[in-house]
Amino acid sequence: MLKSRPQPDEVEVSLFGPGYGESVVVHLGNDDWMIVDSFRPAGQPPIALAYLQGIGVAADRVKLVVASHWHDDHIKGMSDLLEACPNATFCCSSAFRERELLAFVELHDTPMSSLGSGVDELRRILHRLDGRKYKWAGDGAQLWRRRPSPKAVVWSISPTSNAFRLATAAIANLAVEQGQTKTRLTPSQLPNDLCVVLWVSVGDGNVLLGADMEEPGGLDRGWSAVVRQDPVWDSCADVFKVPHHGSKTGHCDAVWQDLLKSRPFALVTPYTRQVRPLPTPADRIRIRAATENAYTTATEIETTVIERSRGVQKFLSRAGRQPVVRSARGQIRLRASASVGSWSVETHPPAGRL
Amino acid sequence: MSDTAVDVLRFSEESRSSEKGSAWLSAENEAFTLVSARPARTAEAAPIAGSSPTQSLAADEVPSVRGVWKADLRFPRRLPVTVPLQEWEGVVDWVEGDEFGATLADMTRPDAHELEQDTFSMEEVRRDDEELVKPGAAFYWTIALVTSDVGQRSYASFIRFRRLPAWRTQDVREARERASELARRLNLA
Amino acid sequence: MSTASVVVVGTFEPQVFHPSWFASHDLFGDDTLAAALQGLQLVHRDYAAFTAGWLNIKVEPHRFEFLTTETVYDADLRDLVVNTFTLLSTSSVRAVGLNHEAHYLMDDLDALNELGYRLAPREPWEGILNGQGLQALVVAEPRDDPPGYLRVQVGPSGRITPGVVISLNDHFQLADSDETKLAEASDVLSLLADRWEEAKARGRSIPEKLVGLA
Repeated sequence: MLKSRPQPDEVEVSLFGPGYGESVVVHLGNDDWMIVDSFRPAGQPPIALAYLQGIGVAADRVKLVVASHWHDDHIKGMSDLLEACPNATFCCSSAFRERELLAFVELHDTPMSSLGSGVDELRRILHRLDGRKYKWAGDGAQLWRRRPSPKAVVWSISPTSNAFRLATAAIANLAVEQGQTKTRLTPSQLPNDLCVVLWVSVGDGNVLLGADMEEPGGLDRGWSAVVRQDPVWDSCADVFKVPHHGSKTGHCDAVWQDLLKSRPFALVTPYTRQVRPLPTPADRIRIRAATENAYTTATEIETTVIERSRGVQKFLSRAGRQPVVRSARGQIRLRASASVGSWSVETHPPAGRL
Repeated sequence: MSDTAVDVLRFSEESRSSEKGSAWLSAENEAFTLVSARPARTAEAAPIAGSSPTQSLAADEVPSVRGVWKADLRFPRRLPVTVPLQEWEGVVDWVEGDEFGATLADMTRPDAHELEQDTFSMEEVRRDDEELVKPGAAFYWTIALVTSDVGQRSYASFIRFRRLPAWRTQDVREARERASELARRLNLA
Repeated sequence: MSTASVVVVGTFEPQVFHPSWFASHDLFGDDTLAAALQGLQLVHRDYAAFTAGWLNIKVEPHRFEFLTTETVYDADLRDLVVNTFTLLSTSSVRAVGLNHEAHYLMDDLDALNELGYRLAPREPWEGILNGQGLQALVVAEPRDDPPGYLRVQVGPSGRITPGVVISLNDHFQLADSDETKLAEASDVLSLLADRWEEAKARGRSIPEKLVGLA
C-alpha cells in the first residue's frame, strides 16, 4: 500500500479493490476521515484500517463509515471496522428503516454457509448500533459537515424518494418468495437503486462516489432520478468512483454530462466472480472514451494455487480442475490541495491506468 | 446409582414397554412388508460395560472372541473404505449453460482464510441436486480416496448441494418481532 | 471403516418417518427417495428404518438415529438432522449424542495385542485369570456445560482383522435429570451448530492417539 499521510489541507481519495471487494478511504481535511464500504483480505483486518494504520492515522479520527449497500463485496469486515472506529457515525441506506427489510435481515439470523454473507454482516452491524451515532442516507441528506477551513461536507444523493417507494414492493416480495419454496433460498438482492451514492465536497474539490448505482431505465429510478433531483453541489465533480465495476448497467450519459467535469478522474474496481468479469473490454473502451484519466485498482489479477497433497493435486490436474485464489493488492490514491484543487494521482501495483 | 445408570434403565424400560416381539407382524401392520425387524432393547441385552442412551447402536456389538482368534490372518478381512482427503464448502457465484462458478472455503484447513474459485460442470452434480444449482446456493465438495474391498484404489469427487429448510410462518413471525424490537432500539418510527 | 451418527433421545412417532415424509419436505430428491424405498426395512407405529445410499435412519418412540458409514457425508448428515428437527419444532427432546466409530487395521496381531495390553495391563490380572484378552474398555469423561459426558469404547474389531474398533459417544443431556423440564428441538439445532465441529475433531484425534499407543 501507499505510504505517507496527506497534509491537513489536502483532500484524498483512496480506492482499493482486489477483484472481489471494494473500499474507499477519504481524507476530508484536518485529519478527519471517512470510509465507504469494506472488504477484508484473507485473514487480515479490513483494508481501510490497515491503510490508515500504515500511514499513521489513528482509527478514532474516522468520522463517518458508510455502507453503500449490503452486497458481500462491499460490506465484509465492516462490523469490525466500526468497532475499531469509536468516533465514527455509521450510515446506511434509509431503506433499512423499513420494518419489512429489517424483518428480512432478522430472518437471516443463522448464516447459511461458513462463507457468510453481506446480510450476516449487516445484521451484526445493526445489532451493535446501541450507543453509536448513526444516520440514514437518502437524497439530500447531509451526513457530515465541517465549517472551519477547509470546509467540508458529505451528502448522500440516493436512494431517491421514488426509488425508495418502488423498492418497497420489492422488499415485500422477498419474504413472500421465501415462503413459497420448500428449501431456503439465499438472500435475494435488493434493487441497486437503493444503494447510497455520496457527494463529497472539500474546499473547492468535489468527489462523486457511485457505489453500485445502476441505470435501470425510466426517469424516476437509478441514475436518472439522481441527476434530476435538486443538486446539493454547486460545481461538478473532479473525481468519480465509477459505479458497478464499470458495467454498462451502471452507465448513464447524464452523469458524465451534468455531474462531472470534463475529463474527470474515473476510478474503477474490477469484479471477477462472474462468468464475464467486469469491467468488460467494451466497458473499458467506453470509460476511456469519456476520460483519459481512467484508472483501475487491478490491471491484472494475481492467481495463486494452494499447495495440496500430491494425490489430490494429481486428481485435480487429471480432472482439468484447479481452484485458484484471485487477489490484487492495488491502490489508487488521488490528492489535491483543498484550495488549489489540482489533483495528483498515485498507484500501487497492480493498480494502474484502465 | 449414577444418573447415567438411571437413564439407561429408564430407556430400557421404555423400550421393553413397546416391545412386541413376533406380535409386530399383527394385522394392523399388514400394509407394510417386513424385511427385517430388530426387537427393542431390554436391560438384559445391555452390553458388558453399560451403555449410553445416545450412542449409536452399532457400538453395542461385542465381537466374538472366537471369531478374532480363529480368523486366518494371512488374509485379513478388509472392507471398502472412503477416506476424505480434501473438503471445501462452496457458494455458487454464477450459472451459465452447463457450467457454474463458485467460491470455495477450505474446510480441511479451517485456519486458512483465502477463498478459492473454480468452475464446475453440471455433469458433476447429482441429479437430485440439479434444481438447487443457483447463484448463492451452498454445497460441499469432497475429494476422497476410495479403496474397494478387493483393494482397488481410486480418487473420487463428491459434490453435494445443501438443502436448508425453508423458513416457516413461525420463523417469519419471530423475525418480525425481532425487527420490531430492533426498530425500537434504533428509534425508528 | 468409520461411521458417524447423531442420536436424539426424545418423543417421536416412528410411523411418520416414511421416506416420503422426507421427500415431501424437499429433504430428499427423487433418486434418494427411490433408494430409500428400495432400502426400506419397516415403517411401523413403533419402529421405522431405512437406508438410502450413504444414509441410515432408525426411529423408535424415544430414539431417533441418523447414521452414515461414509464419513464423506458427515456434513450432509448434520444438515439432515438440522432440517428434520427444524420441521419437528414441537418435539420434546431429552438428550443428543454425537457419535463417531472407526475400525483401524493394525499392522499385525502383535500390534493389536500390544494395544490391548497398554490399555489393560496384564499384571493386575496375574493369578486371577489365564490367557485373558481385552474385550471392551469404556472410559468416560464428564462434562458440565451442557451436562453430559464423552464416552470412549475400545475393543477388537469384528469387521476387520486384525483390527480395533474405537467408538466415541459425545452425550449431551438437554433435559433436567429428573425430566421436569424437557428441551426443545431448537436446543438440538443450537447444539449441532455449537458442538459439531469439535465433536468431529475429537472423533479423529482420540482414535489416532489411542492407536498410536501400540
